[in-house]
Amino acid sequence: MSELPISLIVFTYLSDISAGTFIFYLLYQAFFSGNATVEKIQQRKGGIFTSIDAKVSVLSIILLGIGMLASALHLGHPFRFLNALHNPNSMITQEAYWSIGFGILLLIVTIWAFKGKKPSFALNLLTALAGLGLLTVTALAYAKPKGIPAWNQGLTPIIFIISALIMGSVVFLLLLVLQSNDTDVLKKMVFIFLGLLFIQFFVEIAYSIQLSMGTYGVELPDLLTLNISRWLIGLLAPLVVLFALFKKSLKMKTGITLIFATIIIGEGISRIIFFMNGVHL
Amino acid sequence: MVKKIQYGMVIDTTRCMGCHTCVVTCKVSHQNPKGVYWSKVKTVGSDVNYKPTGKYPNPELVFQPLLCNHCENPACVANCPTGAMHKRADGIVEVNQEVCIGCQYCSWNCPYDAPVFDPVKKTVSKCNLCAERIEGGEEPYCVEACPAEARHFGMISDPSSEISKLIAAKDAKPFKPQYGTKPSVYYI
Repeated sequence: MSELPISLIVFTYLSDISAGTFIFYLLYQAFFSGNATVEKIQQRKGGIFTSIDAKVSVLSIILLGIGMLASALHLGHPFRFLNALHNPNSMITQEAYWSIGFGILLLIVTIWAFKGKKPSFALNLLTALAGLGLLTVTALAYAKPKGIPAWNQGLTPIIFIISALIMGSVVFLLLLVLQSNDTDVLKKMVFIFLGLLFIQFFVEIAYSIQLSMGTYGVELPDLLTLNISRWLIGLLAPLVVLFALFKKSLKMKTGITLIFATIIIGEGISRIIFFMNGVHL
Repeated sequence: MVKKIQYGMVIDTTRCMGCHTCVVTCKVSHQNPKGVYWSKVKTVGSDVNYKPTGKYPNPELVFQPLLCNHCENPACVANCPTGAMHKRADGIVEVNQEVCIGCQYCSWNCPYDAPVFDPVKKTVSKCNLCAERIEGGEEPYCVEACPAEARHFGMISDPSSEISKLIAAKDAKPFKPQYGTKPSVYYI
């Protein structure tokens, strides 16, 4: 790839955060929202934007919207975008279908939340599944092309999906910690994040090994500095912050804010590295 | 049963002298803008033109002309979201620039990097084997212009054609067959 496709980086980054956040929100709704603390705070403060449901749906739809606009900028003819719905066998068409589906469902959830109603679990589940679908087809859109060996790897879809979930988890944790002091729920969700971070570690190592073994003679750019930054900021720094949190040398709100910042920056660097490696055969 | 028709090309790399006449005639004839090349000539083993491989006193200078392989199973067609990239009845793969949105997903999927982005038309463009000339009974510009007569054009789907006999006689091989697209350009 001769120049960095900024519009595609923005699209994948924001749409992945959008879907990841909503998936994590569903997880919270399914397993942890039985705890009444957050609900009580919402009732006490009043207003639409104090509800975690409204915050998540509004944030998700804004991120997806910006991402979709960015992806249109990648096209030579953005106003012909409807032509992209023609071939269901193409991953780009699939991406368009799932983006539109996820967007429509997010819009319904947002309207629901603005009406002050508690969103139904079934609707949220459907929306989260559409988000997961979008994550998957976006990942496959990069994993399938045989012309770009660094992307055409078995681990590419896993890299994308784990990255989206990990970014979604920190966005949701930040929203939650700003809203509630229920350390019990927060701790449980931080443990889920820790699990994802460990998976990310192993997947990153495996992907690096896979890259070093099979790029069919294509010379990849030297990205040592970026790779070191990605590991330090995106993988090691959150671990250090987590350690400080467990040692209680950091407040929960400070710790989660730091984790959010390191993960969001680290994953951003990771995306840049991924696209810079997109050298054609 | 209707027999599949497939035009193709054989390029004799032992005759190619790397003069780039094919590149120039293609670019000029199709009036392609700056940076858009449907036909290229690569110096084998080097990223620099005319830089030989090997060591003195045995340097080796081999050229490989490259163009769209008009594959039997073209990855660009299968993955084009719009249907703009299509395979004609005569096997030529071409792009409808009125429909193309310029997403370049075809380029990502093509093992030969054949579809290129046209910065003027804001769509993808590619070699169409000079379809307009073939329809008039002529050969593609690159074949006609090659001073070394290194290029041979014909109906590779017909076993009795001259080009099919040449492929068999010289044991010509396609480039990157491992990608399963069944290319229609063969190399000697």
